[in-house]
Order: sequence, then structure tokens, then C-alpha cells
Amino acid sequence: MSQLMTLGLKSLVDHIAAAAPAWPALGALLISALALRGRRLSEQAIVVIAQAALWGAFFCVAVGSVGYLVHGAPLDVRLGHFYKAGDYGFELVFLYDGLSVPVALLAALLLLATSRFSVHYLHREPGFLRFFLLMLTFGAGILLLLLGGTYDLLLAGWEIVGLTSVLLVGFFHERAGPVRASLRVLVTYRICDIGLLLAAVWLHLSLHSTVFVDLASRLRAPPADFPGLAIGLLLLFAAMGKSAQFPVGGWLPRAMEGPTASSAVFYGGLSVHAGIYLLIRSAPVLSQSPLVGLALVAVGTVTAVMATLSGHVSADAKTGIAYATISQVALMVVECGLGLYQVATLHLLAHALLRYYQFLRAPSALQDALARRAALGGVAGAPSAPRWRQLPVDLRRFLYRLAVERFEVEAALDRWGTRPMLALSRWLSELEVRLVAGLAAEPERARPALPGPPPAPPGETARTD
Amino acid sequence: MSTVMLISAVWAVPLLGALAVRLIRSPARARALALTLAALTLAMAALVFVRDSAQDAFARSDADVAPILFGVRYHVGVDGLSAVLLPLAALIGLAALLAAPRAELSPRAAAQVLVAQGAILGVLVSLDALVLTLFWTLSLLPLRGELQRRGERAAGAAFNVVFLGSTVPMILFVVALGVLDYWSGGDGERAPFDLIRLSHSGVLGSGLIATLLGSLVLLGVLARMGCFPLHLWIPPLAERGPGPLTLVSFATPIGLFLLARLAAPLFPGVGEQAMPLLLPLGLFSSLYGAVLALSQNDLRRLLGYFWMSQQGFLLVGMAAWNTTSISGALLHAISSVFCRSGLLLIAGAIAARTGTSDIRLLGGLITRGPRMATGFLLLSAAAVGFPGTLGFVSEDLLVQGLLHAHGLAAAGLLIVTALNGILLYRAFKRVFLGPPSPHTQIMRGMEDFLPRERWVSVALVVLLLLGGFAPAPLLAVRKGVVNALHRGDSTIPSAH
Repeated sequence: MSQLMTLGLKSLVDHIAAAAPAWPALGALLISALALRGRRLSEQAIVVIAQAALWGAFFCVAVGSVGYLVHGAPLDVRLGHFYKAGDYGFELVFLYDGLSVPVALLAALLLLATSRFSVHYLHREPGFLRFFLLMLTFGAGILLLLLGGTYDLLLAGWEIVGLTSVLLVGFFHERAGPVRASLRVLVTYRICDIGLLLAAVWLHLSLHSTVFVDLASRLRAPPADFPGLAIGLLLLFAAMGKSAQFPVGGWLPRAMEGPTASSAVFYGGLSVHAGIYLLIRSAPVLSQSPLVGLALVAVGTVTAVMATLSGHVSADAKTGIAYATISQVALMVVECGLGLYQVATLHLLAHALLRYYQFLRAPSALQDALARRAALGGVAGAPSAPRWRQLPVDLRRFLYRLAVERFEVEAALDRWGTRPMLALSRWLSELEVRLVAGLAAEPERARPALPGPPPAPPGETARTD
Repeated sequence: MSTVMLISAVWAVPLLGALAVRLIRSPARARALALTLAALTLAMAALVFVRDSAQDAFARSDADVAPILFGVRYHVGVDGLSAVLLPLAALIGLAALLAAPRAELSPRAAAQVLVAQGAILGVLVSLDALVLTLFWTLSLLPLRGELQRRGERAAGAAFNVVFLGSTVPMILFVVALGVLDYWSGGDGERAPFDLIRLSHSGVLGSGLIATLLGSLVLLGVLARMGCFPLHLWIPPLAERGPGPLTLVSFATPIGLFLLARLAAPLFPGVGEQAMPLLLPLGLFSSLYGAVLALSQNDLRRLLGYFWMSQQGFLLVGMAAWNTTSISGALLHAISSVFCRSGLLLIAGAIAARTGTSDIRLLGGLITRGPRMATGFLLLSAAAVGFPGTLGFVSEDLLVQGLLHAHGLAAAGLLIVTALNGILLYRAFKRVFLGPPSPHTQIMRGMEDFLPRERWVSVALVVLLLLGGFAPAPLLAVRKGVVNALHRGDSTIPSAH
């Protein structure tokens, strides 16, 4: 009898734990359904729904975590197949283990805090509803990413996090800057996501599963032809995009155009660490090939040095914090490369909390600095300046210029990637227009003249748009 | 009502109704009648789907056969392949009529839409090669007439690529069937055009004749799908063609349908030979479309290239030739129809309001049309496989299936998906976001979605979400067909 009850309780805990990502998703759906009626939804109603959904998610995560602690072993919840076709099936698996429990708890907590903070921060903002909608969607995505027990579910969460992040960067859509930044974020994300997608399908092909638990056990004795290096590098590529590593990290400082609350939860707290989470999660795969570790260390080191230098010369508080974030995340990549996954986990948790707080305080950075100065009775200059004086002037200037230019990484990517692509596209398109005109046996249709090109500020024409 | 009556009514109601619509003078009344007929068609198509999809494998068709003359028989039926496409085609027709700008919907235009829709529904239910070819040709005639009437020379010339490219091979194919039958001493009683007989008897078998005939059908399919280099018609038509009519004529994936209905079962040998060629062709086609879409300055033209890119996906999925990838292709056909139709309807709505679909002239439309922007964004997200939508499921299946066949092709497809995402968001950004367009005269009078437009886009998004959260029923309906296709059996169910 008591055994039966334990079994029932276990199943109940499993189901509650698996429902965590569903709550924010339901909240988002409810808000959109209400908004569809056409009448304006009051701020209060939005906040009530959002808070309820996020508390629901927090409750589920807490139940799952307690279940994990009481159980003493990872909570591996398998809910069967989402869909099946041929010999392929999409499995629904949720995993509460030593990695996902602390990070998911932190995520649920930060989401709640952000939603509470934004109630006042975004009061009477035209995009109030949009912000909460996107934040709830993001909540569903990040919880799916953290708690999903397969690469497929992690990928689904990954994509949701990506798109909401893009839309929040472009939150103030009436200005050109945020919108352009959001396109850059999207391009980086889409291209780097190929790595994760490909890694997931490849794992399916070679090990017939993407369930983390099964993979870990199968990889203890991997098949001889397991492409560990290729999959490892693909995963690294995916993580580089989300965690803003060299050479695709240029988007993070630009992403600061979004509302402070979302910057905090995305780039201070959760989204930017998703790449690290992926790497830690993939430890069994990454450890298959020593070369992957080497690549991780190399990418992390280069990024850390460059981000630190650029951070030193940045002129505003949010950009400074953004570069500091990149360099810390880069160190986590190095830790993963060295196989210190537990250190990386701890580093992730501590760093997420600290940056989250720093980002929320960023709008009042000046005030804080003044208050500090007043309390201390004056501060003697910037502490980092004297250190640089030991270098020769030329080298200092050279480094300064490089740092200010962000090492010209973006310019190079534009020059060797974006522009040739667009040129090719234009050339082929022109060719087709002529071909069709030839078919019609008529002179090429005069292209409609534009009533004066929209004035573009100098230096901004060569961007991706 | 007997099944054959119901199935016949599905194509006959819009076709005959078109006559009545054309005769009405008042545009408002003609529109109302057309809408009623389209809604009725959708209801009947949905009834066929619901009634017959009760069986899991869905391989049933109890249509009577009525001889017409010279061995041509009126033979209709529905199976797992067409059952989903029937309501889909009917829905697109209704959506196009509902959301099209009123100014574009004269009685003539409404009648044309109904004719095209009826003909496409006819293609989907025909089990006789000649009748099918007639419907196949008829579905393109209204657009041809309209382009000639408008004097669109460039778009007309481009249209000829698909018109001639898809109908001439099919007509030649049917003629060849007749000649073959005559040579072998047919007396008109043996139904030389009946697809079931053809696929069961294996008359076409293998050899030179089968290769030739199979290539003809394949050519027709590729032209209709807009595969490189037969895609030249898509961008000009998307840009300059009459919006609702173009949409109805081309949205339903009947190219893919014909590939599964005719080419694969009738010419199993040709299928095996051609599929390895079709895979790189489809992949290149989708990559080409995505790259060209990047630099387009006209929103509708851009969506045309995106369309081409998506058609490439379908071809790749079919060509990879395993159950997973075929399921994915058939599912992706549905998902991408919803997305593309919705996006094109929104582009049409913008053009009707601002007088242009030139992206350089637009910008910041979100302040005037937030619902329009939301619709565009959601449909774009679904089109590139955002989790929670049908596109995620279909692309997942496509890539999984493709990886079994060809690892590099899967990587190529993922690159194309990434490009598609980039180009759609970039278009969204340039049209809807940023500071309002400097060409302010365009923004004047810009209005958000009207209720009817809004409900169409909401319905499309809801369907995509429903499919994304519960794809299992859709996959189950087609399981029988997919398995049969993969085994190389006839996909056409035998009549009772």
C-alpha cells in the first residue's frame, strides 16, 4: 500500500516538475488571447497574470528540486513521445539533476524578480504588454532549455530564448539603433544555431538518442566511429553565438539597447549563460576529443583578453558591464575546456547573480558613483590607469585603438561575409530580371525611381542592413 | 449523401458557382456569394476529411466509376494524401477571398478565384489521368486570362514558364497513354487513363517508354513547384500578379501532390533513378531562392523567392526517400502553405494601403499597424520552424530524414533555414520597425488590419500552433500513404 502511495507521489512530483515551462507559456497565451479581444488590457491585469504564471513555474521547479534532493538521484521524467514518424520520434524528457536544479531555481527566481521590477520600471510604457508577453515567452523558453532532458528540447528552448531576446533588443522600435542591433543579434543567433541543430541530429544518427542520461551512459563506451570532434566543435560554435564569444560576440554590447530589466535578465543573468550551460551539459560529448578542449580554451582566452581591453575603454556603464560579462563568460568557456565543469557551474551561478544586480543598478550608476565618492570623501582616479603607464606609448596607443575599434572583428565579418553575399544576391537578381525581360521580348522595365533616397548617416551605410 | 456525390460537390460547387458569381453585377453581392460558396466548399472538404480520416491508415476510397467516353472515366477518390490537402485548398480559397482588398475583388476576380480553386480541388480528387490533366490545366487558365487582360507582358511571359512547362508535358503524357492503349489494341473498355489500373497493372513498367513518360510527368511537377531553373515565374507573379488569384492558383502544393500521386507510384523505376538527382536540385533551388531573396527590394518579390526556397525543401524531403523525410515533406507542405499565404496576404494588404510594396519606401509601419506587424512576425517565425509551430515539427522530420540519406544535405538545409530566418526578419525590420518612413505621404491613411483580415491571420496562426502542439493526428492520417510511397507500392487505394 505504502509502496503504491510512494509510486503515486513520485508520478505526481514528476508531472508537476515537468510542467514548469508550461506555466509561463500559458500565461503568454492567456495575455495574447485577452489582447486579441481588441480592448486595451490594463497593466494590473497583465501583471497579475505574469506574476501568477511565474510563481507557478517557480513552484514547479521547487517541487522538482525537492524531489531531486529527497530522491537522492537525478529526477529523469519521461513522458513518452511528442510525435513519431518512421523510425524517428521526438521524446519528451525532463531532467532535474545537480546542474539543472540550481540553475533552474536561479532562473525562476530571476524571472520573478524581473517581472516585479518591471511593474514600476515600465509603468505607462507603450510596450508594457509586449514586454511582459516576451518575458513570459522567454521564461518558458529558458525553463525548457534548462530542464529539458534531451538535446531536442534544449534546442526548442534555445530557439525561443533567441527570438525573444532579439525582439527585446529591438523593443524601442521607433529608433534605428535598437532595431539594427536586433538584426545583428538575430543573424548571429541564426547562424550559430546551425551548430546546435546539426549536433542534435548527428547525435540522433550515431547514438540513436539525444536523451542526456542515455547519452552519458552510451558514451562511456562510445562506438568506434563516433564523430566526437565534429559534434564537439558544432556545440562549441552554438555556444559561441549565445554566449558572445570571439569572433561572433559583437552583438552583446549592442544588445544593451533594450529595456534595462530585460538586459539584466538576458545578458546579465540567463541568456548569455545558456551557451555555458550547453557546454556543461555536453560534458560527456566534449570529453570525447581532447582537441575540443583545446578549442574551448583558445576561444575563451582570446575572447577574455579582447573583451577586457574593450571594456576598459568603453564610455558608458552598460557597455562596460557587457564587456565585463563577456570576459567572465569566456573564463567559464576556458574552465569547460579544462574539464572543470563544477567550477564552471559555480562560476555561472555566482556570476549570473552579480551581473543581474549590476545591470539593474546600471541606470543609477552615476548616482551610485557620486554617492560613493561623497561618502569616501573623494576617490583617487581610475585604479586601472597607472598599470598601463608601464607600457611604451606606441604600444599603448596601438592597443587603445584596437580596443576602441573592438578589434575590427565586425568590420571584417561584414567585409568577408555579409557584403559578398549581398553582392552575389544582387548580381543574380539583376540577371534574372534581364532574363525575364528577354522572355517578354521587351526592353527591361524601367525601375521605379525613388523619390530621393532616405538620408543615411555617414558610416552607417555599410552595416548589415 | 454518397461519398462520390460529396467528393464531386467539393470541386463542382466552386466551379459552377463561379458562373453565378460572374453573372452578378453588384460587386458586394458577388463577393458575398463567392464567400458563401467558398465557405460551403471548406465545410464539405472538412467533412470529407473528418468522415474518412477515422481509419488510422486512411487508405480508403469508395468512389463509383462512371465511364464517359473513349475509356475516359469519371473516377474520383480521396486517400490520406489528398484528404488533408482538400480542406487546405478550400481554406486558402476562403482566406484569399476574405482578406483580399475589396478593390481587387471584382465579380470577375471572385469568379476567377473560384474557378482556380475548383480546378485544384478537382486535381486532388481525380483518379483518372486525363481528367486530372484537364483540371491541372484549368487551374492555370484564369490567371493566364487575367494577365493577358491586364497586359502584363513581363509577368505574362514569366507565367508562360509555368503554364507551358507544367501543362504541355502533362498533355503529352496523356496523349502518349492513349496512343499506347490504341497500339496495344485497346477497345475503349479498358480505361487506359485510370490511375489505379495503371499503377496495379504496371503497364508502364520500365524501359525507354517509361523513362520518357516519367520524365514528362517529372518536368510538369518541377515547373509547377518552381524548381530551379523553372522558377522564373515565381518572383514576377508574386510581385505583379493579381494577389488573391495568384495565391489560390499556386498556394496548394499540387506539384508535390502530383509527384506523390503520379510520378512515384506509376514510375517506380524512374523514381529511383531520378531521386538522387532531385535531391541536389531541390537543395540548390532552396539555397538559390534564399540567397536571391536577401537583396530584394520589393516585399512581394522577396516573398516570391522565399516561396521558391520553401518549395526546394519539399523536393528535398521527397527525394531523400525515407518515411521520416517524406512525412516531413508532406507536413511541411501544409505548414509552409499557411505561412506563405499569410505573409503574401499581409504584403498585399500593405500594398493596397500604401500603394507600394517597395521596402525602401516603407518603414516603421508598426506604429500604425501593430496587429499587422504581429501577424507578419508570427507567420515568419512559424515559416522558419519556431518551436511550438507546425514548422518546427516538419523541419525537424525533414532534417532527421535527410541526415539518414545525406549528411551534407542536412547541413545545407539548415543553412538555408538560417538564411530564411535572417531574410524574413530583415524584411520585417525594414518594413515595420525603425523610424517611420521618410516618405510620409505613404503612411497617411495607413490603417491596421480590418476585422476580416485580422481573423484570417489569427486563424492561420492558430492552425499553425495547433499543428505544432499536436502534430500526431496529422502524421497519423498520412502514415499509410507515407509507408506505401516508401515501399514503392501504389499509393492509390483500390476501389471496392
